[in-house]
Amino acid sequence: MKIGTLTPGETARRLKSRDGLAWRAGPFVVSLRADVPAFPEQFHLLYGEHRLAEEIGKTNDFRLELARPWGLRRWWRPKVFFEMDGPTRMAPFPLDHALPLFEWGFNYAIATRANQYLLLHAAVVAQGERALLLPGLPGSGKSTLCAALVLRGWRLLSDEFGLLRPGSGELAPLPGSIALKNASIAVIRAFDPAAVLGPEFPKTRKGTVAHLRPPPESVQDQERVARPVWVVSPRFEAGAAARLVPLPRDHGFLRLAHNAFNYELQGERGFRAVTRMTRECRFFDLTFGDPGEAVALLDEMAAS
Amino acid sequence: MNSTPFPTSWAIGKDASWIWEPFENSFFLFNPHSGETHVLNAEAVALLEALQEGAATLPELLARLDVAGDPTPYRAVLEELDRFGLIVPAWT
Repeated sequence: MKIGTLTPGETARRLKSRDGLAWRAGPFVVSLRADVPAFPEQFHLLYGEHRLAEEIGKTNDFRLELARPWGLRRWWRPKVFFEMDGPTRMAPFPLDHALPLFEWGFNYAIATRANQYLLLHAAVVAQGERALLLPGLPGSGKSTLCAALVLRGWRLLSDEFGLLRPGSGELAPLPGSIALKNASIAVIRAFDPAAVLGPEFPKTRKGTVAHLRPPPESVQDQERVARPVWVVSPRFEAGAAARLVPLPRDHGFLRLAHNAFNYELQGERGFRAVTRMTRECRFFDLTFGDPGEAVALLDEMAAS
Repeated sequence: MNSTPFPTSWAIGKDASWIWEPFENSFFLFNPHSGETHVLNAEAVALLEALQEGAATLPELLARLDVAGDPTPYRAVLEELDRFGLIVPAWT
């Protein structure tokens, strides 16, 4: 049973309940409690394709909460806090920014807890079981390119994490919404007018943010692992023609190790996992000014 | 004239169970004891391999490597390997 089969009212009721609403997110089961206005409708829109956890029979990996404070901040310039098994050190957000807070909080939960994986900071898409990783610093165009690729048929594994199983070298999917920022919101709306986006949240710490709904097929395929084949570091440059430049493998090794949140924590198995990926992948730098051109170039790369 | 004291000889530490991987022109070395990964060039790798035969002074190492000429670059590499904790200096 999917979240989308619940009515928005039932979604809100479950989010408010003592145990919260639990769903399957890639390899994890996540539960969320939230008693926040407008949030249930936004969550329902973006996560409607995800399966409810009740039929999975697995305990929760993450217990998250969007909590409203008591006292003055409940009523005057109201705030919302992100909690994970209790309070965290994340600063509160304005109450009407609960969705971006949930998205960042969930990413924080993965980045700090999911150390059974080598956590690569990259968007990941795939054609079948061949995965393309897009590592990139904020502002590199990583999410814009990831959105454009999935809107043209690539399978979304994640906009934020390459969850690499160190033993097998496989990538586990974690398809969620894709956070688009500032100008990239209009770029993606123009790129595909049928793209389903949630509301725009102005004046967040990263500017205006809107979330693209993950493709339903990618969510349905969220237990299908993929093997890393290409690692492409994108760089958006206004007006630039799309250009793909191959990189030597020693550069590739450093890119992967530097992009992993927990490379040092993984010790020898992290080294071996990065070594294996370095041997098995092809590495590129991609400069692009137009997502359509970049997608065409990456389609060509995948076909060659 | 270089006034920095320089050890008389060098040796590889007792528990040097490193893992090596060569890629293109670089060598990646993982040291399980420190948990650190080092990127080494060909000179550093040659010196470490020469030290596998036993502790040695810089001239002895250069002789093992069949290197003639200016030893300065090798001296700098040895100091770097010492900073990484991969080799041990002796001051006898």
